[in-house]
Amino acid sequence: MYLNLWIGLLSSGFMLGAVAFGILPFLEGWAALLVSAHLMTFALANRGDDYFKALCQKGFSFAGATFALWLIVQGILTVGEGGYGVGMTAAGATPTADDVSFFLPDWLNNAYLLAAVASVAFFGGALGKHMGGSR
Amino acid sequence: MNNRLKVLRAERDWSQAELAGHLDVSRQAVNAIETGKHDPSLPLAFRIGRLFAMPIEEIFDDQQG
Repeated sequence: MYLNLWIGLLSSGFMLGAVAFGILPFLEGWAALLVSAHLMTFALANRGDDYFKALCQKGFSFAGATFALWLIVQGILTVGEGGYGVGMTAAGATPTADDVSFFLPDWLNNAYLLAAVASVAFFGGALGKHMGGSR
Repeated sequence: MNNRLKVLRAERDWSQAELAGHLDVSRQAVNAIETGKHDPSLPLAFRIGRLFAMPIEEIFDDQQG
């Protein structure tokens, strides 16, 4: 059961490497399948004991915080993008799509990347509690 | 939270794995509780109390009393 956390971390690390940096891209699909199977097991299964559930809870907290940070960055940049367009309009210019899209980097709209980062956060958080003993 | 689980286990000459078997949890769970890394849930705390025939507060100390 605890070994699965290590397998999940390794798989999600491979997935992140493949999605973000193109490392070993042929492993991307297999890593995604392994990660999804482990996450689904940890989310839905009720087989774990008291301690294992606490580890999973810590992992999901980390994954949730990852989503929140991602949304904060996306939200700030999106608001900035909107403000830039409003500013251009106020200055008498007509903003084009190119004018207002440079704030948002492509990777922010990559759901696969977000899933990989959140998966690493989940397994890293759970194993961090297991190894380091944070409450 | 401090606890006397390690002492109680040693008094019975049980290994962590044996205690885990009595409590129906993993050895890692017993280790985490003994080292203070994990506070057990209320149901598990009651199981531990019943196993050692002691009140929970004699095994666990929340350092507030």
